[in-house]
Amino acid sequence: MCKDSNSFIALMSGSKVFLQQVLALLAKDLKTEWRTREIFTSMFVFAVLVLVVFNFAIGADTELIRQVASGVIWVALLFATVLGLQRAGQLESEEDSLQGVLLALRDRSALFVAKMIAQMVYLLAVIICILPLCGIWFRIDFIACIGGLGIVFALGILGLSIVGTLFAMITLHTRAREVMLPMLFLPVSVPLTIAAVYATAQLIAGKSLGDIADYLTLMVIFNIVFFALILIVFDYIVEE
Amino acid sequence: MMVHLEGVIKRFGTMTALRGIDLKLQRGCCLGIFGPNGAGKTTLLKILATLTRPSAGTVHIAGYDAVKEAEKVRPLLGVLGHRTFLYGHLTACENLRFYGRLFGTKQLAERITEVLQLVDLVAHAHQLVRTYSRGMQQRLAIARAILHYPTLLLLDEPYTGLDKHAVSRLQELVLHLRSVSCTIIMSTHDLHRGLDLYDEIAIQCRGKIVYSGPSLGSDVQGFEQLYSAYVG
Repeated sequence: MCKDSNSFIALMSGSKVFLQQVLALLAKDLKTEWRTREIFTSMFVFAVLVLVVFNFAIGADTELIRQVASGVIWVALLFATVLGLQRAGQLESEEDSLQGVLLALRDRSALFVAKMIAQMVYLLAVIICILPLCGIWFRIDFIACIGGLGIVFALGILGLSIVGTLFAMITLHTRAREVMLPMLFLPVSVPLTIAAVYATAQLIAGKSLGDIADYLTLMVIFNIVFFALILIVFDYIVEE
Repeated sequence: MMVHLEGVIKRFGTMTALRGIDLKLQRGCCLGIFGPNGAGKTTLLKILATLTRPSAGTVHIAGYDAVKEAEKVRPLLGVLGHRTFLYGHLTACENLRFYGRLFGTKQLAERITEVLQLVDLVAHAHQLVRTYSRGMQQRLAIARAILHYPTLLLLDEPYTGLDKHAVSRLQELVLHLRSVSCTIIMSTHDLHRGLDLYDEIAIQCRGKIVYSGPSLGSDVQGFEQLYSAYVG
């Protein structure tokens, strides 16, 4: 009984420390980004450029635009994620700060969770900024399906952030980092991206959440599997 | 025993960086590890800092296995590496607050003021670190390393970028930390600076500790002869 209560206290105390460390890491990342705006700016500008290029490439065919719009949005988000992760990694490796952080963490997965949440915040900001532009350029009324889209985008950016953060950490000390990150990240995120593209397309076409339940299930499973897997192996990943 | 290494080997692919390191260090001792570039000093300190695992052998710090119980070892360590581990877009105060929060340091605000005073940076506490000179960054890195009252301080080439005044401040700091029973391991290839700070010295060459023994005090010439005899 006493041993059980001691274990429980240790667990709760460990969770509190873990949460404090996640919050400290997240606050540091967001404060740095607020000052520099380097990550958001590069992600946003790149996403807008992708939209502009596709807009010109597709032309004025309204029906075609409606069909491919969801794909274009997710491609823009996918590449913006790569760009954001690369910039975030550069900031961590400038003075080897990541090593200092690793020395201070009892449970190193706190670093993963904080980086993942920070990436989600950047992606969310990009989505909020590009959706109105997409609505104007692609002549799509996103307001009509905003509830369903919110769920799809939430699951999508969660998955992209989980997988992206993992590969950003793996490639942080590799020589050809700029090449390795997209080469590892893009193929692994294909199942999630396909599900997100189809779910978004169906919602734009006026379908309900019930109609895209299979895609949502796939995205939830993808996120749970990768999140659990990464928490288990993260300690080995960040080690030199 | 604060530090106890037995048969530590570290391989990077086909290259062997450490070839069987045995080391014992009592609590409160100051050990200087000397050796030429490529001797494996930094690799040894990284293993002690739990930043990398040994390929073979055992590492115990304060009675904990540094590989299996790394999470218990890390709060005991203060590490000053080749790089400062600081964030250029944060101020000195913000950097220290960040690390203090990660370590869960009690009465953090007072402690930050205290360590900034120790490294003479109080006047620059609210200045962005990227505007600091190299020497100031190194001093702030020292403050970061001692912020959470470590019991084992690992200093890898700590004199890098420091001017004469800052070197003597660092040496004063080492003496102060020794007086409060902090164990210190300092690696350097500088044979002339602060020899009298050490209780013990070790010479490392090609991944092995080729000499270890008590400090020769401030006998620089005697130590140079000893070093030449082992390193060449």
